[in-house]
Amino acid sequence: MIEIGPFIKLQRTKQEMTQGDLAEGIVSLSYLSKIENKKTEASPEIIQLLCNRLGIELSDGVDSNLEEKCKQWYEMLYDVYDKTKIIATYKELQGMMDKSLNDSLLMFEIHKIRYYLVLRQIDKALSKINELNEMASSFNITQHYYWCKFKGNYYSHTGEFNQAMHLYKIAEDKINQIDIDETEIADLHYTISVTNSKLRNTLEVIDYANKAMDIFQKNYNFIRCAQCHILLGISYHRIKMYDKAIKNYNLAKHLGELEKNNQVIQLTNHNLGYLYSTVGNAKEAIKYYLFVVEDEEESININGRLTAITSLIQEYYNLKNYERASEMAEKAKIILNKAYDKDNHYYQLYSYLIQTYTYALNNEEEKFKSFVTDEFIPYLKHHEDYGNLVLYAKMLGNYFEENGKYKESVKYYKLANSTYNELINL
Amino acid sequence: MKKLFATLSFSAVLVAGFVFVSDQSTDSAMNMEPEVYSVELPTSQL
Repeated sequence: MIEIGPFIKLQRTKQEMTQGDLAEGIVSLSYLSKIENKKTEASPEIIQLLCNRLGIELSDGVDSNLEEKCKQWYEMLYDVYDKTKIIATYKELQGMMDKSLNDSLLMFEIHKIRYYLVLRQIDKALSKINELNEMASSFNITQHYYWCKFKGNYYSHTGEFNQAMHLYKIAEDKINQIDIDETEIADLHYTISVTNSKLRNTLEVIDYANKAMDIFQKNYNFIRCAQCHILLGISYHRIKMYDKAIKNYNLAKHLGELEKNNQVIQLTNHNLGYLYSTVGNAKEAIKYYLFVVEDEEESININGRLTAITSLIQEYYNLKNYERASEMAEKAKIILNKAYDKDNHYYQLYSYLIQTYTYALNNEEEKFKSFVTDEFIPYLKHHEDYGNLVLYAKMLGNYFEENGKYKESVKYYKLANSTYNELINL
Repeated sequence: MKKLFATLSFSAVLVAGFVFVSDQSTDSAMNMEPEVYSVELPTSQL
């Protein structure tokens, strides 16, 4: 039997009823409060009366039809699936859940965190976490596993990767105590691999991606295999095993083409572009970045497209192809204007980068100097973006040195040095 | 200005800078990992 108190509270708040509204004529307000907070066990008659007022049936047994429907919906949230089908199934399930109080409800509520995240309704995901937090102590081990995993997903989305990893590890510790199928374990391993990649734990990325891929391969899930290959490609790139990185990217791309999944294809193109850029192969880097920028379906997010186009400006600039660099700068401004979140750090960073190159390409020397000195460098300092700070401080140092302004030059070389030290200490 | 940059080895600085950046913890925007949830959501639907 389910723990009834938290569910009554959940249904009551969902229907925007106060405790007074629900309790009136049935129990005292303080007694209802005790029921909701599991401080007392109410008689079946009282529970029935409360459920009647909430307009829900009290289901005692297991509804296998409902369980099966839930299972289908949960699976949709794990794989590449059409959004409209996910929403339709959710609505159908919610309708069934609203009518009765049953064993599947709590798991359904926990999965809503994942549901809101995949639909990018981040505020709703957070509200659901806060709402469920109060009843987390009554979760069984399986529910606790999903609770930790989905909360981890939330932190992955907000960029708090250490916090996310902490929760994924708690979930991982529970795997042996619960009955879950291997695709679920593979999904957790994949998630841990992605998070390790964000945290630069390269060897762990490889370990977990391989573990996940073993299972995805067995199930012929090529898209998930492709995603694992991308993670492996990034890791081998970071440890400078370029051949292995390229091999993994090509495998990912091949699988993406096989499944006609443009997201996978463009993600691979982007990472290949970056790899060739870091090894100094500008021609190949440009080729792959252009695939991303010219993708009409705009399969990868705006952040990815901005990275690709600013990289193209750099590559063309380095090749002294100023005409193409200017063309890309203009295109970059158009993409930038489409960016929905102007407070986002990356939006601001790209905006500074594009402006810096625009001044350089237009020969606006004074504007370039004052922009980098008075705006860009302070911005990088404020955001502790040490990598870019070293780069642009050094560039300004060079600029002043060549112009005979040695005092100014020393100032920026010093900044570059101290920033470099800061970076090493991170 | 373009010529000035060339003499300043501007491009060399940039290339060196980005190679340098690629090995540090600030290159998050350069490599792009797949998402932790892989449901297909075309950008136009978001």
